[in-house]
Amino acid sequence: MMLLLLAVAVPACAGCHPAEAKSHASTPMMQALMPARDSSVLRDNPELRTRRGVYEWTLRSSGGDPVYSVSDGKQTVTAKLRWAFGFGVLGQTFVYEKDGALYESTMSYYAATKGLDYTPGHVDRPQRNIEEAAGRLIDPAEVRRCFGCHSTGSAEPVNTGVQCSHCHADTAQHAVSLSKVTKLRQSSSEEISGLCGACHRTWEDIATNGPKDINNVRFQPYRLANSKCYDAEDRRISCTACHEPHTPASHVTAGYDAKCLACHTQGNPAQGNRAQGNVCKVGKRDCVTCHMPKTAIPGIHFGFTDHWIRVVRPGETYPQ
Amino acid sequence: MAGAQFLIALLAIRVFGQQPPEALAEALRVHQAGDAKAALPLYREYLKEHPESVDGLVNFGAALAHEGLFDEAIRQYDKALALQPENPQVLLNLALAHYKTGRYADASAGFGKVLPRLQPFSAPHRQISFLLADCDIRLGQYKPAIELLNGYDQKTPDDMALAYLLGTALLKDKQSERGGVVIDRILRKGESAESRLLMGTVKLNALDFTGARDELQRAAELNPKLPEVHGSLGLALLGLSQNDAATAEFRRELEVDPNNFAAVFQLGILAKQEQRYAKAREFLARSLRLRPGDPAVLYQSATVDVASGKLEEARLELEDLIRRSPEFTEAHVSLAGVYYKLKRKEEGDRERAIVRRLTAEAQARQPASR
Repeated sequence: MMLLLLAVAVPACAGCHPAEAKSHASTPMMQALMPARDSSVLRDNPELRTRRGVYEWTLRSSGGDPVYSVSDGKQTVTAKLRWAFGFGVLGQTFVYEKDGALYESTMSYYAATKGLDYTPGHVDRPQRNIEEAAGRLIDPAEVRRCFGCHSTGSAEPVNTGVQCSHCHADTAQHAVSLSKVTKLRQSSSEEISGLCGACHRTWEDIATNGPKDINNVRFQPYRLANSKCYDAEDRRISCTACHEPHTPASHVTAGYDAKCLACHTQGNPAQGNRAQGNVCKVGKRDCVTCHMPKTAIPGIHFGFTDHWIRVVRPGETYPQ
Repeated sequence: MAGAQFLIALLAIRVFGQQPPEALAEALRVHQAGDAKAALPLYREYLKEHPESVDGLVNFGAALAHEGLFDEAIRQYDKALALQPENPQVLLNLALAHYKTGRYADASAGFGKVLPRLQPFSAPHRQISFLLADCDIRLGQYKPAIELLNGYDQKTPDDMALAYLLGTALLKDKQSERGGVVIDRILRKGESAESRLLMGTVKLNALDFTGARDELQRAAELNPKLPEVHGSLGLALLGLSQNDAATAEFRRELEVDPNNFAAVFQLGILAKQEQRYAKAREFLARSLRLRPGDPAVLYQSATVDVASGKLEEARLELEDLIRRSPEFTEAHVSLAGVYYKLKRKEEGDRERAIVRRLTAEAQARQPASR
């Protein structure tokens, strides 16, 4: 299962890039994966319990590896949790090992409800026995994909979280010889979408494989690329134009206004405003609250910001 | 397709209405005695002197086919057909050789020419009808297969080979209700691998991958050599995201039936996902031979080129595919990506606009789109 690739961990970079290393350490990306025993969610909730039908799921953590169990009143299946996926702002999904294979827990923790509910994709999964009620076997290829995004440089991670070399290619060589690395700030919006979309899903991923419903609101590069104002070459509409990846995303909506007004203003093209957008007739601040509405996915207990920037009409059909 | 196992190979030795020349008669005698291998040099010798002898060519082809040398047999039949384009024996032998080598489009065309010359509902008519239906099913042409088998369904409803073929065609054509009636007929004969396979197909169609997996695993226990079982089980496992287990099943399918389209095609896609591009190309080329011009295969081949950085090749393939299948959304998606990578922004924007239009139209067609 272990497949160690060349990866440069944050400490190796921190010597020369201390500011980025320090701020990045606090990002959800950096904490996208952790050993379950290190999960603050589990530490703060030493016993989580929920019941659906005949099954009852329990998560207990009292030092060491947290224990996940499922019971139907006659039988009980228990397993030690190995990994916790997600920072916890939205929630956390857990992975346990059985007979050398990894399983995704049927139940996840949701911050909004401070309790357990179905992991996305599990609500309709058959539970014909207690093993199926416990979780879903994760195929090795899927394991590689899961850990590939939530850690850096390995199938089962050495370096948990999204570390420097996850986005910055050539860092291994750079760390040794100070060779030049690709300057991401010179990338087009489409190239940045491709980079971020490797985990957050690209427009191509979703347009080809779906989901073509409200569930795709989670996949920001896809939604953004559908926006009328999206321009594949204009860096003012790239992911990194609004989000500094080394710091946690801001939840202060007014903080994004300047990004919108970079185009949607009565600016002078001669002064560098290449693409003039329409000027909003309704408001001058908190643009995203109207044009990027919070959208909840049933069962996920979280309002995702819809990155399909648009004039949202009352009662409109969710654009897929 | 499992129906093929019920069929009897028809590679025939041509019987002469009149006495053949001495050299050919000797080759025929050896061939008819069951030693096709020993007959091969005799036919070759005869054809050196008589290269335009249709009798020599067709029997030489039959001996070659008997020895598994199908490509060379096809060459001999082609020569014979050029001399006598309507010769039914040549047409039949050529179609059988195409069938045996997985060239189902050619085989279907050949059987289609032979069938009208046969007495309806005679034993040869039944066999050729079933072979033709099997070709059509393999080519994804389910409706013509159903139409062809309908006549036999009325005439011999207790024929289990027929029920199996017809049931397969109906289920693959998503005609669940009538397919269910045919499955009932098979189930009444007791549990069998065939009935489990058909039930698995029903569940696959309904996207009940867990149920399909269970049915198909039982089918595999009952008859691990039944064509289509492992391929279908692979599809169920893919639906459950069990890619490694699916890969193993597709490989098992190819041991049973090297020309199973689903197995070959899915192995190509899986190889692409694992970035084994040379292997992916190999499987996709095989898929294209099984279903010539299939848009899904052409699309996957183009995406292998995209993934391996052959952008110009991919662009040409996708543009060609879109000319043939303008509503193929995924091809527009990939072409947009290729244009952007080639810094051809306006064309990329145009393709994305097409995708948005096609997606919005599909959304509008959904019954509960609001």
